[in-house]
Amino acid sequence: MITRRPLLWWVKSSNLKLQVLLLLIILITVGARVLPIAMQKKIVDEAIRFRRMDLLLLYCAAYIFAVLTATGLKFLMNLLQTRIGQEALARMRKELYLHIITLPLEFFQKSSPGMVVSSLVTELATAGDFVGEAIAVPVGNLLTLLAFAVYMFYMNPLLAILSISTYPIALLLIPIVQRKSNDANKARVDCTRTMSNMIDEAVSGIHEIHGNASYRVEERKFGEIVDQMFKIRFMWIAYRAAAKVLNNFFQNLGPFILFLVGGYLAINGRFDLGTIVAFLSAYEKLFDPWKELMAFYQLYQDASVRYTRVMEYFNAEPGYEIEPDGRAPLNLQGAVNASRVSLAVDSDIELLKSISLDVKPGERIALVGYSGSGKSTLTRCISQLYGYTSGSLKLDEHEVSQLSKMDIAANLGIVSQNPFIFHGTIRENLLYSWEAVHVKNSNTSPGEAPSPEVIIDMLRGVGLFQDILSFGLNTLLRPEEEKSFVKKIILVRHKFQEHFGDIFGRYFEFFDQKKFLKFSTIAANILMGSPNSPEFSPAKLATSPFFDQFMSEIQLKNSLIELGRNLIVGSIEILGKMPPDEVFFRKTPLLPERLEEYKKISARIVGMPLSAIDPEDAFKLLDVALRYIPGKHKMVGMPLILERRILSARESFREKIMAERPDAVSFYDISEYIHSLPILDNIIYGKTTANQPRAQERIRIRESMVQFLEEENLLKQIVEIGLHFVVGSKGERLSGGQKQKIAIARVLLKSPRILILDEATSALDNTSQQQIQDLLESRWKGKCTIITVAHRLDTVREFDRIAVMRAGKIVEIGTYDALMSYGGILYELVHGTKSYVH
Amino acid sequence: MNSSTEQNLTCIEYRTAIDLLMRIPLFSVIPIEAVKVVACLGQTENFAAGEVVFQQGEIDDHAYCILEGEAELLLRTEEGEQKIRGFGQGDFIGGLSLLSNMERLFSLRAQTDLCCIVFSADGFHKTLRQFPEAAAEILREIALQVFRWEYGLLHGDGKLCAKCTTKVGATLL
Repeated sequence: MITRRPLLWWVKSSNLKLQVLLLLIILITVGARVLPIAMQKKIVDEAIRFRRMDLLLLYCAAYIFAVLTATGLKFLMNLLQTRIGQEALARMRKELYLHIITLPLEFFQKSSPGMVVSSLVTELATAGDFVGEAIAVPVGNLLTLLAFAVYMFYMNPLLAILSISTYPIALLLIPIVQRKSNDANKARVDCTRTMSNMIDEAVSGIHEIHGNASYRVEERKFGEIVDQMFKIRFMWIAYRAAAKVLNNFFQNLGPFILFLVGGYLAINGRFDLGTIVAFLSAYEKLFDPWKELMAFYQLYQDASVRYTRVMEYFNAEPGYEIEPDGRAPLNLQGAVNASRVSLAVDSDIELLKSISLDVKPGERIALVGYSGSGKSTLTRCISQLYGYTSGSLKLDEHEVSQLSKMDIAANLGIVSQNPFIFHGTIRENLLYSWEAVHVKNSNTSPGEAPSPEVIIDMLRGVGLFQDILSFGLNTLLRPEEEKSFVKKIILVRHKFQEHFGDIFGRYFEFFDQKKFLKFSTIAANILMGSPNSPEFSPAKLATSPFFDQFMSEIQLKNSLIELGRNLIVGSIEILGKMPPDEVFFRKTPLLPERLEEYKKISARIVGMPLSAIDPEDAFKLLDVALRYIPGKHKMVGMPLILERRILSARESFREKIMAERPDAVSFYDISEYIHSLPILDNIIYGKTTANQPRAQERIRIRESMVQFLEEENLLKQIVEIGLHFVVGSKGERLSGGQKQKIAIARVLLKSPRILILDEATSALDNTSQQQIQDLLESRWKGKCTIITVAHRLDTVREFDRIAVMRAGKIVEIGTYDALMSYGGILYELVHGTKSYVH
Repeated sequence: MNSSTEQNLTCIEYRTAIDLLMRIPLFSVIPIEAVKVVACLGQTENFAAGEVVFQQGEIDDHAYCILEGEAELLLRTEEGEQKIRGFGQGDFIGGLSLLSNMERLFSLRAQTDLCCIVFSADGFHKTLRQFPEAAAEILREIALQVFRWEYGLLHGDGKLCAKCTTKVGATLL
C-alpha cells in the first residue's frame, strides 16, 4: 500500500535510466569543475611567470572550455533532476489519489476536503523535488568535495587538513538545530491542516455565516489559527536560517587559517604564489558543493517530515479490492439475500438489527417506514457503501463483503436522494456509470459507447428530452463549427415562420427591418445585426466612440440617457430595499450584482438636468437603456415616440456602418446564420416573446416544435449539441429534478441487474415521477431487481412486496393489499399521512 | 384571441397589479413597498377556455389573480366531478399556496379565455424576508379569515349537517 512506502522507495523506483545518465554527467562535471583550478595554477606559474603568450592562450582556452562544459552540464543535470523528480511526484499524486478515493466512506466522515487538497497539492511537492535530487546532488557534490580535497592534499597536506578542520564541528552542530526545525515543520504541517479544514468549513457553511452575520466570529476563529501559524512558521524558518548561518560561519573560518599559515609560508619563500591562489580558489570552490549538500540535507528533512505526515494520515485500508483478482467481474442474476444482518456503530448503537430479507431476481420491493428507521442504511449495506457488522448479506450466492467494487458496480446501480453531478457535459455525466464499468483502467479508451439513439431513447424515458433539446436550442455556435448544420437551419426559417406564425404567432416575434422589436434590446433594435468587432458587443456598446458619435449625430443620445434614468430611478424605487436576487430583476434591465452602484447613481441623478449628469454616470445610464427590452422589462414603460426614432436610427446606423466600417457588423439577413444568437433564435429568425404559454398550450408548442425539427432532420443534431451542455460545478446549472433524472438515467444506461432507488425521485413532480415509474414498469420489469426506498406511499401499491421498517428492523412484509388489510404500521402510515398536509 | 384582448394584455403594467393586490385582504395589510415588489414579480398568463389552471392532487405553489374571464373550481370525488363555485374578474385564488407547499384539494378550470396575474411562492418568500413586519400582519390576517370562515360555518344561514359538526374546530388549531 502506498502509504506504507518510505520516501526512499520512490528514489529506488524512479526512472533508473535517467538516474544512470545523470550520474555519468556528474562524473564529467566533477572533472570540469576541477580543471579550471589546475589551469589557474598553470596560468600563473607557467604562462605569466615565463611570459609565454602561446601557453597563456592555450590554458585560457582550456579554462573557458571547462567552464562552458560545466555550465552546459549543470543545466542538463537540472533538467534531468526535474524530470525524475516531477515524474515521481506525478506517480505519487496519482497513486495516493487513487488510494484516498478508495478509502471507506467512514474515513471521509472524519476528514475534510481541505485536508485532502493540501496533502495532494502542497505537501507532496517537496517529496518530488527530493526524489529528483536524491542521487545526483549528494553523489555529485561529495565527489566534487573529494576531488578538491584530494587536489588540496596533493598541493599541501598540512594546509589541506587545517582548512577543513572546521567541518567536523559543523557536522556535529547542524543536525541538532535541524531537529528543532523539523519539530516546527511537523507542527506547521498539522497547523496547515487545521487551517485548510477551517477554510473548507467556512466556504461550505457560507450560508450559515451570512445568515448569522457571524463574520467577526469566523474572523476571530481564523485569526487565532493564523497567529498560531505565524509563530510556528517563524520558529521553523528561524531554525532553518540558524542552520545555514552556522554552516556559513564555519565555512568562513577556513580562509582565516589559510591566510595565516599560507601567508607565513609564502613570506618565508616555502610556498609559491600560484599555489596560494590555487589553494584559495580551491577552498572557495569547496564552498559551493558544501552549501548544496547543506541545502539538500534540509530539503531531505523537510520532504521526509511532510511525506511521513501525509502518509501517516491516509494510512488506512481501502474497504474493498477495486477489481476482482484474476477473473472478470461477476454476472449476477439479481437475487438479494440478507440473513440476520446487523450494523452497529461505535460498538453499541445498532442501526440495523438482525435483518432478514429474501429478494428474488426481478422482484420489486419497496422499503417504507419513518425516517431514521434504517431504510437507507440497509440499501447502502446491500450496495457495499457501508459494511455490515454481523450476519450474512448475499447477492446471488456471493457474500457482499467478499466482492470487489467492480463486481458490485457491474451488477448494481444505486441512485441516492441527493445525487452528485460532476462538472462536465451532460453526456459525460450520463455515461459516468457506464464508463466506470466498461473502462478497465485509465489507459484504455472506453469501448463502444452507447449509441446516440440509445442515449436519446433514455432521455425520453426519464423525461429529460425536452430539457436537453432546449439546452441545444439555446447554444451559441461558433462560426467555425457545424457548417453544414448551419446551412440547414437557414433553409428552414421561412418554413418555420409560415408554420408557427399563424397558430403560435403571439409567442414569437420575427425579425423585420421595418418593425420595432419589442422583445429585443434597444441596442439590437438599432444594430439589427451581430457585432464582428468587440467595440459593438452589448457590453461595450455604451462606451464605443463610434456609437457615441453616431448617437450624437442623430440626436438620440439624450433620449436614451433619459430612458436610462427612468429605468434606474423607476426600478430602484421598487427594488431599492430588496436583496440582489435574480428573482426581483426579471422585469428590469438592471443587473442584480450592480444593485448598490445603481442605488448610488439613482440618488445622484434624480431630478438633475441631463446636461449636469456626470459623463461616467451617463455611460451607465446609456448601458441600461441599451439593454432594455420593452416587452420584457415591464417595470418601466417605453415612450411610443422613441420606437419611431429608433426605427429611423436603425436606417442611419446601417448607412453609417456601410460607409465607414463595413466589416464591423453583420446585419441580420434571412439567408445568413447569426452567430451572436442561439440556435433557437436562428431557426425562428426572431425572438420568443415574454408571453408565457401555459400547460396544454406549452405542450402543443413543444410537440409542434419537435415534430418540425424531426421533419427537417435537425432534431438529433440539436439534441446532441444539447448533450454537450456544461453543467457547472456540482451541476449548479441544473435544477434538482434534472439532477435526479440524470442520476437515474446514468445508472440505467449501464443496465444493472439490481437497481436501488433511495428516494431517487423526491425532487420530481407527480407527472415526472409517474414517467419514471412507467419506464421501470415497461422496460425493466422482470429484468432488474428493484429495491426502492419510498417517501410517498401512493407510489408503492404496484410493488411486489413492501417491507416496513422501524428502528432498524423489518416489522412487516407483504403485498400492499395484505398489509393494508392486516392493519399494522403500513396502514397507520398511509392513514396517518393522509390527514396531514405534505 | 382577438385584437382587443391582445392590446389589453400587453398594456397590463405593474400599476394594475398593484391596484388589484391592494384590494385583496391578504395584501392590503402589508406595507406598500412590499406590495410593489410582489406586484412586479407577478407574471401575466393566459389560459384558453377549458384549460386547467391547476389540478387537484398536484403540488402547485402559485397564487392567481383573475384580470379577465371566468374560471370554475372543481372537486373530483369517487362519485365524479362537481363544481364548487365560479370565479371572475378581480378574484384572488390560492394565497395560502404562497406560504406553504400544499397539495391542491380542488382543480381550477378556465370557463372562458382567462387572463391571470400569477404569483410564485419563491418570489413571495424572498420579498417577505425583507419585510418581517409584513409577515406578522399576514399571519394575523389569515387567523382572522379562518375565524370568520368557521364563524360563518357555525352561525351562518345554512344548517350544519350532523356529520360535519364532528369535524369543525379549525380555529382551535
